[in-house]
Amino acid sequence: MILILLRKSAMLLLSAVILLLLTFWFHVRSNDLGDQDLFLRFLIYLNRILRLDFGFSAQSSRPVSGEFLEYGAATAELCLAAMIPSLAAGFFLGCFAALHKDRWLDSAITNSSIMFSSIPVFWIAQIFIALLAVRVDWIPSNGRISLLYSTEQITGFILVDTLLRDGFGDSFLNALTHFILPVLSLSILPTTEMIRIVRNSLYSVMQQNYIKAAFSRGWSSWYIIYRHGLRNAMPSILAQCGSVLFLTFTSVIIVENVYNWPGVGTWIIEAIRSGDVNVVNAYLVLVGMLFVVLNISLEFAADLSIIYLNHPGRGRSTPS
Amino acid sequence: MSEEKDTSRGQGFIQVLHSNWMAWYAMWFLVAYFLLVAGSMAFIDLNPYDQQTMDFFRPPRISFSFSQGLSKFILGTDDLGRDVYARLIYGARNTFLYALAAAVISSLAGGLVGFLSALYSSRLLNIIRILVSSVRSYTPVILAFAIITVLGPSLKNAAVAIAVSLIPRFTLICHEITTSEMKKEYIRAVMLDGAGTLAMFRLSLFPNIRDVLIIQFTKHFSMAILDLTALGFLGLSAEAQEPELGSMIAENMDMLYTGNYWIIAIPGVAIISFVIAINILSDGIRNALHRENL
Amino acid sequence: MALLDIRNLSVRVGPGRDALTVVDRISLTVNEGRILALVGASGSGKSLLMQAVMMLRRDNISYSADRFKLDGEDLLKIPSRKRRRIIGQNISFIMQDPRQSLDPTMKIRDQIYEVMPRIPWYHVLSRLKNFFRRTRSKTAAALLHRSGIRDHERILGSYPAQLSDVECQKIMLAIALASKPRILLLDEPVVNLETASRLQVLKLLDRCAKNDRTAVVVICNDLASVYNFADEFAFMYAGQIVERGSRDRILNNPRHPYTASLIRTMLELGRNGRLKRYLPVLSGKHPDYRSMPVGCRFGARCRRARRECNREPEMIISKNEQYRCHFPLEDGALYEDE
Repeated sequence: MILILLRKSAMLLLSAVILLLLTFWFHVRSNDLGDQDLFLRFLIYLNRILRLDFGFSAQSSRPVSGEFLEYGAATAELCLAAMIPSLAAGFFLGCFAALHKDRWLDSAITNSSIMFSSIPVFWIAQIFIALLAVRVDWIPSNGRISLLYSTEQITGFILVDTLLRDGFGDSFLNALTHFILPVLSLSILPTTEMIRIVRNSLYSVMQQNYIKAAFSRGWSSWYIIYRHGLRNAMPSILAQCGSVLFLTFTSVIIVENVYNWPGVGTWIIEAIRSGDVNVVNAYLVLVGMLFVVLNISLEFAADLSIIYLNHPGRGRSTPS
Repeated sequence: MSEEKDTSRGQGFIQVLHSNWMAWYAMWFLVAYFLLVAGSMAFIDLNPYDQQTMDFFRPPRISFSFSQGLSKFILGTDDLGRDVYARLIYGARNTFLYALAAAVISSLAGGLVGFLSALYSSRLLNIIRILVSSVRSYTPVILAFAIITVLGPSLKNAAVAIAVSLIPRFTLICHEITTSEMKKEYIRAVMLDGAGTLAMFRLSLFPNIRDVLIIQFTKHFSMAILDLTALGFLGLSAEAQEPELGSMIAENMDMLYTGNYWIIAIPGVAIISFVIAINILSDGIRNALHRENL
Repeated sequence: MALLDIRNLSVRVGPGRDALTVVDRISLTVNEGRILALVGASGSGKSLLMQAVMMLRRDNISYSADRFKLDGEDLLKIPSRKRRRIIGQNISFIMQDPRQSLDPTMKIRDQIYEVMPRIPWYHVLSRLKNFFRRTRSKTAAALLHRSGIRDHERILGSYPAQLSDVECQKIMLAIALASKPRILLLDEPVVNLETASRLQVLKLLDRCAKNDRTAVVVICNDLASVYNFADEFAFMYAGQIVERGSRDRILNNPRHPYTASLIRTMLELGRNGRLKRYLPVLSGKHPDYRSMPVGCRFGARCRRARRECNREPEMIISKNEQYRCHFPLEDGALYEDE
C-alpha cells in the first residue's frame, strides 16, 4: 500500500515536472526571453507558479488567478451537473448491456452508444439550439441566467446563489432552464463512454465460472452483479474512468463556446484569439495540473480497490 | 496451446469482416466515401475559395438537364457565396487526411516505444516509456492550446498536437498487450525453438496481436477526427479560407437563427457518417474476433 | 416416481436458421439415492445437456422437450424466473474447474455464508447479532466438516488462490450441499485430481447419495474413474444417448458397440488374465455437428456396421436395458474380437 502510494507520488511528481517544463517552454516562446539564463528563468517561473501568481490578463487587466476561480466555478458547476447523471445512467445501462449480452437489449444499448459517441459535440449542441431554442422557443440557449436577474456572486455556483438569494423562485427556475441544453449536450459523450467501459469490463467478468455457479443457485441477476460482478470488475472500471473525465473536460470547452457559457472554455478561447499569453499560461498550468492529479488519483483508487477487494495476483494479503 | 492460439493467423481480415454484415457495409461505405471525394476532386472543376458576389446563400438544389448538365451548386452556397459542395469535398479531404496522418504518426511512435520496451526490458527503454506515459494526462485540446498560441493556428499544428497527445495511449496498450502475450505458452515455445526476439515478434507475436492493433488504430482515427473537427470548430486548426469540416460549422453558426439548418447539417452529416462507419467497422472486427475486453 | 424425468429434450445452439442440434432427443430419468454416470467423448454434448438442465446458457440457445419434470412439476410450463428459483433450490451444479467456480476476491467464509439461509435483518440489528454470528460460523464449519475438511479454520479464512484443487472441490461440494439439494450435478468432478483425492471425493458423493438420498449425476469422459462407483450409466455419442442401464448389466453385457469399445479400452487385461494381444483402439473421430452422418451416427467407426445402419436406429427399450443400435452385441460378446 505504502509502496503504491510512493510509486504514484513519484509518478505525480514526474508528470508535474514535465507539465511545468512544457509550460515553461510555452512561457519562453511566448515572452521572447531568448538570451537569458534558462535555468535561472525556470527557477523564477517556478517560484511564481508556486505562489499562484500568473500575472494580469491583457484583456480585463485583472489578476489571472482570480479570474480563473470565477470562471472555474461556472465550469465546475456545468461539469458536475452533466457528469453525475451521465455516470449513473452509463453505469446502469452498461450493467444492463452486460447482463443481456447478445440479446436485443444489449445490441440496442451498444449500437446506440456507438452512434452517439460518433456525433461531434459541437454539432449536436447546435442541433439542440436549432430544434429546441429557435424552432420552438422553449428553452434559452445563451448564458447562465437571464439578464433581468442580478448576478452578484456568493459561491460562484449559480444554482446555489439564486437559491440562497431568492429561495425557490423565478431566478432559480430561470437559471435551471439555462442549464438544460448545455447539460444535455455535455452528458452524451460521458454516458456512452461509461456504457462502453462498464459493459466491457463487467462482461468479461460475467463469463467466469463463479458467476455461472451463482446463477445456478437461482439468485437474482442484480444481486449477482452487485455481489460478485462489480466486485471483480471494479478495478478495471476505475482504471478506465479517467477517460470519462477527460472527455467531459474536453467537450465542456466546446459546449461553453456554443452556448456562451461564461466559463473557463470561453475565457481561454477568447484569450487565444487575442493572444493573451498570461491567461493561456495559467490555463495550461492549472488545468494540466488538475488533469494530472485526477488521473493519478484515479489510478491510485484502482490500485487501492485491488488491495481492498483482495484481488489475486497484485497486492495480495500474503505478507512477503 | 500454441495450436489453439495460432488459428487467428490463417483467418484473413476480409473474412472477419464478412462475418459481420454491419461492418461489411461500413467498409463499403468508407470505400464509396473515398471514391466520392477523390472522384469529385479529379473530375469536377471545384473551387472552394471563389466567392459568387451575386449568388450567396442559395439553398441546395439538384436539377439535371441534358443541355447544361448538372446544376452548378448542388449543395448551395454559403453566406459568402462559396460553393458548399466544393468546400465539403476539400474540407473532407483536409480533415480526414490530417486526422489519418495524426493517427498513423501516433500509432507508429507509440507502437515503437511500447513494443521495444516490452520486448527488450532495458532500463533506458523503460525510462522512455515511463516518460511517455506520464504525458497521458494531456488531452489533445489542451496540448493544442499551447502549440497553437505559440505557432499560430494551422491544420498541421493541430494534427501535431493530436498526434502527440495520442502517443501515450498507444504506448500503454502496446506495452500491456505485449507483456501479457509474452507470458503465454506459445511464445515460450517459439523462444525455446531458438527464435530470436525479432523473429519471434514478426512470426508469432505480431500476427496474434494484429487484430487488436487494427481495432485500436481505427479507434484512434475516429478520435483524431473528432478532436480535429473540434479544434476547427474552436477556430484553432484551419486558417481563414481553408476549408475544414469543423470550421465550416463554426463559420455558419449564426445561420441557425435564420432557420437555415441545412448549412450546418451538411458538414455535420459528413463527419458523423464517416466516424460512425469507422466505429462500426472496429466494433464489428472486435465482435467477430471475440476480443471483448478492449 | 423419478425425481427428474426428461423426455425427448433437444438443445439447439446458434442463431435462428443456422442453429445446430447438439443435444438430440435425449430421455433421462434420475432417481433418488442413485448415482448416474453420464459418459461420453468430449464434444458429445454432455456438458451442454447439464447446462440445459440448469438453464444456465441463455444466449443463442433454444430448448424443446416433450416432458421436463422435476418432482412431478413440468418446468417448461412455468415462467422463467420461477423456474430458475425452483431449479436453484432443488438442483446443485458443480462445474468443471472448481477453482474457477469460486469468486477469487472473496474469502471462503463469505462464500459459504452466502449460500446459507439468510439471517433476517432484525436479528442482525438486535443484540443477538453476536450469537447469530457464532452459530453461523459453526454451521459453516459443520458444512465443511461434512464434506471431509478437517482444518476448517484455515480454509474459512483463506482465498481460493491459496487452496489446492481437491480442497476447492470439497468446498464446492460443501457449498452445493448447503442448500440441501435433491439433485447434485457434477461436471467432471475428478478429472484434475490425483488418485487418492479422487477417491476421497467419490466417497463423499457416494455417502451423500446413500445417506441423504440425493440423486447424483456425474459427467465424465473417462469410464475408468467412475466404473465401480456409479449405479447406472448413460453413454452419449454425438448428442444422443446410445445406451443406458445398470452397472452390472453394462459392464458385463454391453449392447451398443460404442459402449463395448469404451469398456474394452478400460480393461487392461483380457478375459483370461493374460495381456491383450492388441491395444483396443477405437479408430476414426467423433462426427462434426455441422455434417452429421445419415443414419446411425456411430456407423462410420463401427466394425459391425451394415447396410441397415444407414437408417437411424430407434431407441430400443426393454425391461432393464435401453440402447440405440440395429445389431446389438449378444450376451458375452464383449470379448469376441480377441
